[in-house]
Amino acid sequence: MIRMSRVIISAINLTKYFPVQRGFLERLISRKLEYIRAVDGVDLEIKEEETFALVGETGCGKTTTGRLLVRLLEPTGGDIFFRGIRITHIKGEELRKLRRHLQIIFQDPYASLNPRMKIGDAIGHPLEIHDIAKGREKRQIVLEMLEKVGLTPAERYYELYPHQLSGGERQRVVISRAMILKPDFIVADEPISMIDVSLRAKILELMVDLKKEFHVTYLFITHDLATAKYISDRIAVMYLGKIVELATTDELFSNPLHPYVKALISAIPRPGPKAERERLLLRGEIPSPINPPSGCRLHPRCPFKIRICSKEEPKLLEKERGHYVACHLY
Amino acid sequence: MKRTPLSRTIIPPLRKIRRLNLSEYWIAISGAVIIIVVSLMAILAPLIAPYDPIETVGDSLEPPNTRFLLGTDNIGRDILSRIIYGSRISLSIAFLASIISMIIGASLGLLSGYIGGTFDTTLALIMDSMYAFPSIILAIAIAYVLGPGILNVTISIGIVYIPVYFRMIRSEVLSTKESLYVEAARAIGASDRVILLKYILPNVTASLPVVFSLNATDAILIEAALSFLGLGLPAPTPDWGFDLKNGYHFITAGYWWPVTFPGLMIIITALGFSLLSEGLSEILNPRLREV
Amino acid sequence: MKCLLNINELKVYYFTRRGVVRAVDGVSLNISRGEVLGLVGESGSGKSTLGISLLGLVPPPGRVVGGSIIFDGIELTKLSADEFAKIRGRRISMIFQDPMTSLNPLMKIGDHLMETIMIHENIPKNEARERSIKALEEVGIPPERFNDYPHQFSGGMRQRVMIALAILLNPDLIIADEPTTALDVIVQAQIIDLLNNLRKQYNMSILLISHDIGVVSEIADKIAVMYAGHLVEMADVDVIFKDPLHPYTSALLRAVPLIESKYEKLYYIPGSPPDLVNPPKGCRFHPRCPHATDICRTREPRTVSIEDHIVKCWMYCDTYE
Repeated sequence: MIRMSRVIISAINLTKYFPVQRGFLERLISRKLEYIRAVDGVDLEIKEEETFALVGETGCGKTTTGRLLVRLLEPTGGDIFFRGIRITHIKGEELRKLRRHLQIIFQDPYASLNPRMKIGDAIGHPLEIHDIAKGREKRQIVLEMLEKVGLTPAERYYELYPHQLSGGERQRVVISRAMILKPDFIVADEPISMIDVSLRAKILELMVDLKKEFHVTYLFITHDLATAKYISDRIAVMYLGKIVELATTDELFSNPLHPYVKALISAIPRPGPKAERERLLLRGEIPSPINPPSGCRLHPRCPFKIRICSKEEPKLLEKERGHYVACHLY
Repeated sequence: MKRTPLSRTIIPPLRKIRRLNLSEYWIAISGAVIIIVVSLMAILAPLIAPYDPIETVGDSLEPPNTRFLLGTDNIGRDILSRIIYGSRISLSIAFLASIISMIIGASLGLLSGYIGGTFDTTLALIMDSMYAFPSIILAIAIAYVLGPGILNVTISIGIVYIPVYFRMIRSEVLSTKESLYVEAARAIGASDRVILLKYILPNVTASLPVVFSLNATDAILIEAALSFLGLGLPAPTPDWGFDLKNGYHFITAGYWWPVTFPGLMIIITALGFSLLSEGLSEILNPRLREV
Repeated sequence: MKCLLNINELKVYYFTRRGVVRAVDGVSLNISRGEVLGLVGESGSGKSTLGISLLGLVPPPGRVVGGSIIFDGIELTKLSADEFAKIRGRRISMIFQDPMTSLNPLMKIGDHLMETIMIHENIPKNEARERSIKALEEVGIPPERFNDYPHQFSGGMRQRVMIALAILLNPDLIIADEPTTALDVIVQAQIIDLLNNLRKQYNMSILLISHDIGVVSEIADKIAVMYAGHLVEMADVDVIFKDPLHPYTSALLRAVPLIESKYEKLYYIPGSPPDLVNPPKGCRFHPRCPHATDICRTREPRTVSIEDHIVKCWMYCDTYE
């Protein structure tokens, strides 16, 4: 896309620390509070109507970042801007109104639906909360939405309870509920990872279709690079609370720079003839985010480390147009 | 592993009850039958009682005979009629007291669990210290302060059981408020009031019927005990506990009927509630009736 | 290659309140010595039930109701609990998805390994200890962690402990049920590489059960695809990817985003997996199949084999009948 897109949501040096839960005895012994540095200085800009994927392994902070951006968590530091307005610490009624524009889809579609609420009421509830529609008008909008996501006959689905639906159907309900307010920005947190394999494609396709119709921007959070490649325009890869590389999807796969990203890509299982291919395997596993390694957080596992890596933290810098990487090698 | 709130596992079976074979639930059904019979007795008391329960209608301490099916007490009142009328008192106190404790206990538990913080800590501390007392002793103490009378007995029994509901609802709220659907409700912009009433409340009340009937069992027994101790209802109100105490003076002299029949009624009614509670929890708790 | 395991028309049903769940409904397959068979299917396809039935661990109300499992000449379905216990762990061992549930949290992993050896073999303690340490080294766990408890290990390390336990008695067959599903990609790749090395070293047979056809393809020689209790297709791994015959297999391959996908657009399979209490008549895949004809809706297809390629679909029955 040539035209300069406007930024819809941006984060500057965003951080979120969670205090470590400790037992009674531990609290007596040591007074020092420890923190899990779930998100530790993230900068990103998401452009209007793009699909931006946030990729990383368990515990890298991608989910926390998503929840921070829609203000379900209170940031420890940094700033969040929505269409240029600072929303980092807004509260109360103002925040409630903002929720109309920022939505989230969770990983577990069953747990994110109230088991005691009918599907129709669950999808229509946002309309009532924001005084958009009530009664028959609400019902009509919900029925249309059900049709759109393929839950037909809509009249029947309206009256069902979550436990009467399959996993894929439940996720469509959750997507409908997020979409019904016609939000500008949706965080989709691993929306297909708990869905049956044969139904995943359907959900992805549905999300793409709805995006075209509602002109919504997605932050697509996933651990699966292949899914990210399929759905996203740009990708940011996180490691231990930081973004290590950010580029357009094509660029990231054709020219990965960061050793971690290279390792991630080479670790993806590839079907087909077992050609001898060189895998770049990192040693060990992700260290604890309580005391992350000094300097570059990957350095204890990195096969290319140089002396500076353990001392100085690399900054996320633009190497090529639109291709950012945080690594001393570049 | 995260604990699944009891309520979440309960919901599907609740809907299935209609389809299920009734013979599997004989415990709950027999409990319900007992309670319905006793309730009918209470409602229809003026129609079915042969005599006025507070009038002297026969000789003192007549053994069961054709005129007085269950005999008479020391001042010549018909024991059958007193038992029938007594069910009114016992049942209404049991129901009212349980409703009082349920409403107060459950709403406090709901608020305390949801709001959290110092409010929650303080309330939980108060409730736990109440809970630590044996219920009968606490009831005696409150009844003593309030003085005798139907209302006061009801209140004192009601207060005693507030912590039971409080603790149950609060713990359910604590796990439910962390659930994803509550977070989802917040994400769509629901206010605290809406979250509490539409998302949390319906999901924490599933075990209330079980606790309610268990609680009613205790209420019947405590009411009888309070009356027995003279802290209950003033004479000559027909009341099982009061009659039990009254009849007990004569048992050593061989007059067994004034004490036996009120005692039996207390046991049967308590048994009815207890069976209902047991049966309900079996129906409602899928873990007890897995495939 | 010599045949190690022969499953013939195996039927495992669960007798639940809702009705009979036909989890495995007439599955036949062979595993040769030293071969890795990948068993692929969605949740509820019966792949895990098939796995645990090989260990005699089908939980009630489930039961093996028909067919035979012949392992190295022994009919497993006829074994008593005691006889099975001698085979389990020693000749057939298992790796689960979640190692935490199969490791005693109060037991040091070293003791765990030593106990496992000493249950099956009458050997002195220090010998058991040596062998345990050796097993840990083979899976890449340094000996100094011998006295650590399971919770001190990360997810990937725990799975390594599970693998050490599984190879400890040098079994002929390892059943690995979703061994990498709970792990992240990089650790998953480490574990896959480990399994690959171990199988070469010990010439073990592995039944690798997974919903992820990508993971399976990294290590398996052959792939078997299950759908709703039936084995619908089985062939060499390359053949499955190049030339899938069953419509479900080809749909499944196109339904998952792959990093080097030859398909531009994802294909999705309409409908949902069937309820195994009331499976569809005829071919169980017919309600979701784009090629379904009348015969598919009424009669269950036979399993035909075209050279080494086994498929259960009417499209291939006519040609070869």
